[in-house]
Amino acid sequence: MNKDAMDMSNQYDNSSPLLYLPEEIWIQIFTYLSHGDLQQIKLVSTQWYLLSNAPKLKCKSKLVINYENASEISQFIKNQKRDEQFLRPLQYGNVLMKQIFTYNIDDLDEICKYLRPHVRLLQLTGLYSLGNHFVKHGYFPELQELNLSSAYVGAELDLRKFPKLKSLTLYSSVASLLLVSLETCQRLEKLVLFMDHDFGSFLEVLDKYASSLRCLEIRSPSVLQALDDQEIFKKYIRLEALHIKGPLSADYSHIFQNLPRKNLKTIELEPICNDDLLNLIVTKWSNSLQSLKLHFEKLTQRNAKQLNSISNKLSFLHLEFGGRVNKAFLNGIISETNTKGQEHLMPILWAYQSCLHAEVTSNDLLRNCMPRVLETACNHHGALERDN
Amino acid sequence: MCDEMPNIKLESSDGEIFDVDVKIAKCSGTIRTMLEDCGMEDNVNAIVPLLNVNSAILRKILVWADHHKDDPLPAEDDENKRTYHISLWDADFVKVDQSTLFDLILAANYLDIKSLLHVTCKTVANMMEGKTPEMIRKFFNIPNDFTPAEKEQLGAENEWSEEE
Repeated sequence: MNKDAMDMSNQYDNSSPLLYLPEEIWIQIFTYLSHGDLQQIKLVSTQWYLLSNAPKLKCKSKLVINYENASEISQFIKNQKRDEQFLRPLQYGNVLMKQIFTYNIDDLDEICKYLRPHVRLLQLTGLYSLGNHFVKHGYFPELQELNLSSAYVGAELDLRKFPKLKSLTLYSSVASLLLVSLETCQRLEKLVLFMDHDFGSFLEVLDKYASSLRCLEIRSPSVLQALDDQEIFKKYIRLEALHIKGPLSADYSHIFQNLPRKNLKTIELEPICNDDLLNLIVTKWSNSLQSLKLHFEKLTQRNAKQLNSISNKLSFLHLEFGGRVNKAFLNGIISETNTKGQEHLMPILWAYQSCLHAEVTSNDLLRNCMPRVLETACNHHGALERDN
Repeated sequence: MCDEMPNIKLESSDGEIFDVDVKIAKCSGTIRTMLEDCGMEDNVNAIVPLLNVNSAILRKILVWADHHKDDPLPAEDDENKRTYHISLWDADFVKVDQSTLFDLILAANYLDIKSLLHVTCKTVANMMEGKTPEMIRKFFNIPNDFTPAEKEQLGAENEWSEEE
C-alpha cells in the first residue's frame, strides 16, 4: 500500500474543510450547538443546510404554526413546490400548531399535506374545538408523539389518524372525550396523564393501558388519596419508567407497593421520599433500576446507606434535598468500589440545595473529585456541615 | 486486569513504529477490537498498522490516551451533550491549529476514541458559537453557494422555528 497516499495531513491547506471532514462528523459537531447557533449554521452553505435536516439535529427545533403565519407558510410551500428547490425546507419532525381552528382551510390542507411524511411529534394548543378542518386534514401516518397538554379538544379528534402513535400527553377530562378513540391506540407505550376534576376517566385510562405501557407519567395538582385502594398498578407488568409529579406532601408509596417486581428501570418522584419508600424501591427493583430521581426533606445517613446499596448499578442519580447536608453522607452514596474504574456506567449525582447545582460527571467521580466538587458548591452556600 | 501489561507496536501511516503499553493502546476501540478479535494480545511482536494516522498525530493521540488510560468507558449515548464538562487538561490539549484539530477528529473517529472525539468536536462547535453565517464562512473558509432566492426563503424558515 502506498503510505503517502493514505496520509491526508497535507491536503488540508488547499481544500475546504467541508471536504476534509466527512458529513457524519459535521453532524456530530452540530449536535453540540444550541438552536440559535444551528439556525446560523443552516445559512452557511447548501451542504450544511442539508446536513441540518438530519433527524438528530432537527429534533432540537420545532416549527411553530399560528394564526399569523399559517397563510405565509402555506404560500411558502406552494412557491417551493413550483420552483422544485432541492433544499426542501420546512421538513420538520417536530411541529406545534396553535389554535388550529383559526387557520384558513386551504392553508391547513396545504400545510398538513406537505408536513405529513415528516411529522413525528405534534403539539396542539387551543382552548376550543379543533374544528372540522383538522378532522378532515389532520392525518399523520408517521406521528409517534401527540401532546395535548395545552389543548382542550373534543371527541372529533380521531386518534386512528395516527396509526404509529406511541406517546400521548393529555388531561383526564380530555381523555374522557376521547375514550372511544383511545380504544384503537393499541401501540401506546408512553402516557403522560394530567389529573383534573375528572377522576373517573383518570382511573379508566390508567386501567386501559395498564398492561401495555412502558412509561407512565402522572401529574396531579392534589394529593390522590383515592388511588390508595386501587389495584390498577398491579397490572403494570411492562412498566419501565414511572414519573410522578405532584404536591411534595403526597404519599404515593401504595403505587410502589402494588407495582409488580418486574422491569422498572427509571423512577422520578417529585413528592418527598421517606425512609420506608426508599427502602421499598431499592429492595424491590435492585436488579432493574438504572435511573433514579428523588426528593428528600433531609438526606439522612440511612438514606445514604440505602442509596449506596444500588448506586453502582445506576447510570443516573439525581437527588434533591433541603436543609444542611452532611458531607460524609453524600460521599457514602457512591461506594468505594465504584471509583476503581469498573467498566459500567457511573452515576451522575445531582445535589440541589435551594439555588445550588452541583453536577458531577463520571470522569470526575473516577478521579475522586466528586466530594470536592460537592464541597465547593455546598461551602459556597454555607450549607455544608463542617465536622462530620 | 494485571498490572504488568505487555507492550504492542503501532505503525503510523508514514511508517514510524511506536512501542505502546497495551492498556494505553486499548483506549482506542478500533485497536481494542483488533487485539481481542485477532488474538493478537499474546503476540508481543505484533505490529498494528494504522493506515489513516500519521506519526505526528499518533504521537499526540498517545499523549491523550496515556492521560486518560484509567477512565471508565463512556456511556453509549449521552443526550445532554451540551452540558458535558471538558477538563482543563483536555481543553489545553486541543489548543492546536485548525488543521491539526481536524486531523485529531479524523484520527479519533478512525481509532474510535469517544472521549477525544467528543472534546474535539465540541471544540469545533465552540468556534461556531455566537457567529453569523458570514463569520463562520470566513473562519472555516467555506464558499457561499446559496442563490439569493434560496437565502431569502431559508431566512423565512428560521423565523417560524423555535427551540424545542
